[in-house]
Amino acid sequence: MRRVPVVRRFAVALIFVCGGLEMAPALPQLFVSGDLEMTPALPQLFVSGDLEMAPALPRLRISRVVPPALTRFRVDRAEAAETAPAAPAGAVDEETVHAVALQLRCVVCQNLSVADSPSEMANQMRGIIRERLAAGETPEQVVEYFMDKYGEWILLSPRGRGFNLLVWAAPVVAVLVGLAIVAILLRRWTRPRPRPAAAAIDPALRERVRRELESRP
Amino acid sequence: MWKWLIPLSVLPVVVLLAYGFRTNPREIPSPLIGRAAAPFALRSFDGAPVSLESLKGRVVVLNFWASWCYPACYEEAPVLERSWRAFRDRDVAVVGVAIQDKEESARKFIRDFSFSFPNAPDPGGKVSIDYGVYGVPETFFIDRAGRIRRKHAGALTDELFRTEVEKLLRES
Repeated sequence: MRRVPVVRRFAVALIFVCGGLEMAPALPQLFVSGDLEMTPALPQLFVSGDLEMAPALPRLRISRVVPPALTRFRVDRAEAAETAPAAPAGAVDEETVHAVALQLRCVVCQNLSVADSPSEMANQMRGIIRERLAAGETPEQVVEYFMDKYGEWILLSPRGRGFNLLVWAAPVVAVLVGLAIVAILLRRWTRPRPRPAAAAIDPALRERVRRELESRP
Repeated sequence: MWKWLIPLSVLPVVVLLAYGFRTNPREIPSPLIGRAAAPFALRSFDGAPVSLESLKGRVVVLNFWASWCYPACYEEAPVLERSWRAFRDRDVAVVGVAIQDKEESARKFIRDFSFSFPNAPDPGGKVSIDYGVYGVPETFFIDRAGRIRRKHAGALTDELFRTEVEKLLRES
């Protein structure tokens, strides 16, 4: 086998390990924080609204400005809440609403969940989540409802099925390959190498060295 | 073998990037095409009831707009009104839904473009989410059987309105 610089081999291992961790859907919060969340799904990174640079010309003209805070509907809702006949809505746990909202992508945002977005759209979506839970749906059913309307795109982390399995498996495979390379390298470095037998030294040279050493003061 | 490992490990990433840059991140196919349009019952700005049920048997053009959606909705509004006038006697209904809008601004928008088809607010966003709306404007073409046949995101053109509606009218 041809000798390849150790540095280069180590670089390969590093690429696999870092790449794997970077892609890992299970570890988004650990390695990348907040908005720069490239993690949950590599395919989504490229297919959906994350890379602003991608050619979006046909829809460039669509106004996606989040409307100013709209007092009217808030008032409407407040009034509705007051006039509603002691709705079972009181039974809805805000934490459950939050948990469902966290799984859903805010449709007018870039990489924000419905729970995190301050936009009016996300606000309305939270309202709908609350309403559906109050009507007795399970959190799974609520997520199903949004998936039914928007497709799987609405989920922030893709389901581990079919093609999506690749997204979940690739990081694990990459990390394993990287670790394997590191293990091989470490073994190679720590294994004692057979030293080449010392070449026979010319007796004349040995004599000369001895004389020179002795003649030193 | 080692020599090729680096270039080979980069290759799939490059291929994925190349693919990604060639797709439009805004174009997310709606899962609703071909399915029955979600029923809705709204009250128009004039106070009249507007429901999908009452329009059964007609070709329905359901348009989501907002007065804050500039410029696309402003470009589209005259097209909508013009197309509605051209087709109103031919079993076609146009319904506008103002989403996330203030009542006065929405009314002003309707006045400014002298909309003569029914327009209704969508409090709570129920209808827009039932139709999987992302932004405005978005338009849904619903056939006589009440199925969503096409979704158009972005401003409508006369051409697009005419071809789509005529296609659905021919089907009957």
